[in-house]
Amino acid sequence: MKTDEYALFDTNFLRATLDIQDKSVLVEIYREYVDRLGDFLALAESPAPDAESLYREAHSMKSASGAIGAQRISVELSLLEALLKDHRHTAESREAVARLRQLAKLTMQEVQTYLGTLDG
Amino acid sequence: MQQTAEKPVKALIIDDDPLFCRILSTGLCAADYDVSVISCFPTAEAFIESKARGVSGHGPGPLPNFPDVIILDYFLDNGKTGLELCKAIRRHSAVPIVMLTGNTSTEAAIACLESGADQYIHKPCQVPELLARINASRRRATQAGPAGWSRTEPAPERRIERAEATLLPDERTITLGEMRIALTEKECRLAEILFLNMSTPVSKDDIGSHVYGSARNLYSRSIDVLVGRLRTRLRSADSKFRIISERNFGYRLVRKSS
Repeated sequence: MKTDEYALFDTNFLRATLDIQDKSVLVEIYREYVDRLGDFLALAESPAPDAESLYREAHSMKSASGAIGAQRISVELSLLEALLKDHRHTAESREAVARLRQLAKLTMQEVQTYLGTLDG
Repeated sequence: MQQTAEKPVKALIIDDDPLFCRILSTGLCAADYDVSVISCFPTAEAFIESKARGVSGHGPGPLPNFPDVIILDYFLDNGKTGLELCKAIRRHSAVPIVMLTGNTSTEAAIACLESGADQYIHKPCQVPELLARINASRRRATQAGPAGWSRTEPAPERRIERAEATLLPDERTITLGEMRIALTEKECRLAEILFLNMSTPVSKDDIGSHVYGSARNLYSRSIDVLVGRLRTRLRSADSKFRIISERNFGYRLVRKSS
């Protein structure tokens, strides 16, 4: 599965999905997502994370990422989830976390840019 | 927008992920739903138990504050699953249940449906698809009657009576003596074909066609599981009815004479 076949951040996704006009609600959801993603990466990159907790968080973040339109991260998280299925954080899953960090950096930049257009 | 415009549809979301709950509830509220959220397993379990206790002595009609539809996540907190809650709900109610699952395997889909869910949808999902699934479940439930926890009015045009048992397929209930048991759609269809063929062996192919709309062997294991659940329900009512396995063929419903 190639993650670059998917959109990094589809700005229309959440708006079309929710059918709402209230920008402040969108802003709150995106901000909450960015916070959650930051917390997740902090857990994933910690020296010895609990693999079972990481697996469950990867599962939750996969859904949340997909729901806000961060499709590439969602796909990468589903790969990480599969790697952690046996609750073991291996070299392979650590590589997936490193890829996620790069994707998250790019995605957060796009989210912040989009939030700027909503605030304005 | 929802299709029944008279009053808001009450939706209960049971999911331990606050962000995903928020996205779903925002989308459902935008579609004029009246949304409640339960975010942990023990609260959901307590809610179901309290509603179940409320059934005894309650008259016809849905209980107050009970949802018209439940959206239930597969993975919940502390390693618990929505499957357990789904089964618990089904012991008391035929309310439409849409299960959400991040697991795309066929096994997960079967587990959702076998637990009594009317529909399942893969996460991440889009709200419009969820709304379509909810509407489909509610249409079917509406055709079968009100979806509360204490449905008591029979559908006289569809009634199967055998000894002390009365099966009401439209209501998805079976009354055994004085005990009324809510059945899932598939349990009800299984009971229907077995009671209609009382004392006669029914092949797995015929059961598969009647319950799942297909006689393919794909459903063989699912049929065994479904039979197990119906057996448990019959036993829980201290019933004299027994489902006998017919080796390499199917099942037969019999009634003990004493």
